[in-house]
Amino acid sequence: MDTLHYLGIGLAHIFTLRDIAVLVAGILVGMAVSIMPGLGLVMGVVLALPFTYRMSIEPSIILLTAIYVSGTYAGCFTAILYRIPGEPMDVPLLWDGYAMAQKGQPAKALGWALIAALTGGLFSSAVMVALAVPMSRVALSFGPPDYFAAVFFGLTTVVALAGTSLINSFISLFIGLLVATVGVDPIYGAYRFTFHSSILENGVPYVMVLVGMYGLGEVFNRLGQGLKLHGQPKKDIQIKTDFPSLKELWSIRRTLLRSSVIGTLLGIVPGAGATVTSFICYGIEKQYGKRRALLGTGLPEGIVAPQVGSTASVAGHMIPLLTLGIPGSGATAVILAAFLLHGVQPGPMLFTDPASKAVVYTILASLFVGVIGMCLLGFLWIRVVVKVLRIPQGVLSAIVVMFCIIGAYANRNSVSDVWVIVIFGVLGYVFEKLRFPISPMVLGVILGPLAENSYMQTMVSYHNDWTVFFRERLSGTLMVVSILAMFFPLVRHLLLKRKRARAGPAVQGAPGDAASG
Amino acid sequence: MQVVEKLRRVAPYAIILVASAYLYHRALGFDYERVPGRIGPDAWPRIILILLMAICAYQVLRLAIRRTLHEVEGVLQSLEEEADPSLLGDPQTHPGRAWVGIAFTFGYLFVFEIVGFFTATLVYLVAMMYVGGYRRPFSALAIALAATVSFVFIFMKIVYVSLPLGREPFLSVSVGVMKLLGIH
Repeated sequence: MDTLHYLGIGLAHIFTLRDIAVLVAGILVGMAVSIMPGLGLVMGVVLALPFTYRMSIEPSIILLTAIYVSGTYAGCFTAILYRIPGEPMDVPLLWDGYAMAQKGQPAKALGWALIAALTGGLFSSAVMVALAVPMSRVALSFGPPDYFAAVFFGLTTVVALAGTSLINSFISLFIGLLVATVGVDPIYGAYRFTFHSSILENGVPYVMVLVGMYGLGEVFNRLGQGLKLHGQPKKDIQIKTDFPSLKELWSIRRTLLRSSVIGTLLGIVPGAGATVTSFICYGIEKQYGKRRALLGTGLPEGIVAPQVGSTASVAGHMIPLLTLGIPGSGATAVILAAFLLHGVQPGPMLFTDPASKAVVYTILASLFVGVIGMCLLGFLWIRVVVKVLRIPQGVLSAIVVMFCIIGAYANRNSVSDVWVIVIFGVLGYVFEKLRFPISPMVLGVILGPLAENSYMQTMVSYHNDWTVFFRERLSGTLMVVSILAMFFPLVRHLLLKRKRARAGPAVQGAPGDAASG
Repeated sequence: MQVVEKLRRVAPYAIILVASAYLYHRALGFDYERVPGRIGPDAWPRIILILLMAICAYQVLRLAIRRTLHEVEGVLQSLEEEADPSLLGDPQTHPGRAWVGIAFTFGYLFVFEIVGFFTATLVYLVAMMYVGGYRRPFSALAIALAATVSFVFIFMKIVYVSLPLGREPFLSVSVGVMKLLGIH
């Protein structure tokens, strides 16, 4: 009852002119960036971050979450109409979406995607509201070992899920954790890896690492790829949305429900971002769907499953962020940065103070309104939105670089911050080139101080006895799950290797076997 | 040829290994007041560095000894293998462009405070568009001018960011642009 009361207050707040304007702006930006190959929703929230410096906390987070949620939806336009996935998460959607468009039903395919985004978004937002308070109560009982175990869990799942190679993911994570140790140590006041530089004494600002690696690094990477656009927007294609009938909707109710549940649950797991969720939901449909044999030929299930999954993962990701202060993806890492820039530490305490509770519920309410708003804007302005594809890639990348540079400078009017983002931009490019994933490093930089503090507190409280992490009930469970998550890719790899060996030499050249270090 | 290829693959891990060893040595020398029975500020970085060195050493040995490697992939990578690779990202066919872009960005930072935001950004944007394959000089100049003026207006007039004005004669240009935009 208390939850509904606060949600009502949140809804009343969101319908003020300021918040609704910010929400609409966020939805439009999210749509534009998710359509453009090479930008994407993480880049969208990174580029919007500087604009939040002068805003209060509420519109800042609403802007960023609106970009995040609409970024999971708008990519379907170009994937279905032109076979141009704005982001990897749109690839599974394209398999059936583009096939349906080729059969002469592009408007219907867009209608299915819209229904899927709406269902997934609203379902997971409802789950988020229902779980937020119980989760925050659990989080309130966390001691230092539990916090360390929760962070450890977050970092290991990111490594297991997000990376191209397990070893490279670990290296990326350790480098991130190491970057977080630079500066003056908060307990002893010792100078760590500062090399007598006054710039390094305050540590490496994580916002600059985010902007550098996700923003500049991606632009340099796209320059190296030649800024190609796969496929060209066709002028003769009919751009409109046709909704499926109620009977058609009823026929795929299982897919809608299954993907909504899986998308939300996977969203809660750190590392399982919208892309992982989209692929997994499609894979599950392929495994268990009623018409699995026909998947890939233009079935609505093939559009609905990945779209529901990716949109549902957004609210799922917001749960650990708001209740524990642990981001599980690049976009939530930026949202966490926005919270911290405004002097607010997300976590269970947000749900205890009435003032911060009102802010949190306004953010939660904005997700409901944002999901409905993005579908409405997608339906009405689809013709305008797809026109962003006509912007030349060379022009776009130059403008993006400028946003990154000014964004870094605007934080403290400091050129040294700009140097930091350029250095991390180059590092991001080198990481991409060497196939080291970026997410583990970024999350390592952000979660490093939290991990170190809880580790140090535990060591002080338990007289340097590290076995406490495994002896305490909650931390022990999380540590065991983390270790299992860490070894999951290894076990999967060994099982696949054995399966391929049994299948004989004919399968040796199959995809996935040739991945080399 | 095989040796060169092996060295190329081993190099990143070897470099990280050497750098970690150096940082570990630095961590041993952190200056702080020791409290008996309590771990110091070097404990956490040392744990990370030991793990980093161990994993790099393991990878260097693997790459040095074995002819082919079957890398253990993250879950996302194995899922994406079903997809057409061209849909997920292109290979680095123009690495030179990326490095030229990086060089231009460093150059921009060097002159940023001397020539001022307006002039430096105008030139930088045209240069970056050229590197990005946009080969219409007049159009590029017009876009760069419009973008730079917009950036100055948004960040100086609306968001109140004090962007560098540069030294004379560029200072006069920056001030002139600000006057035109009504920024005081």
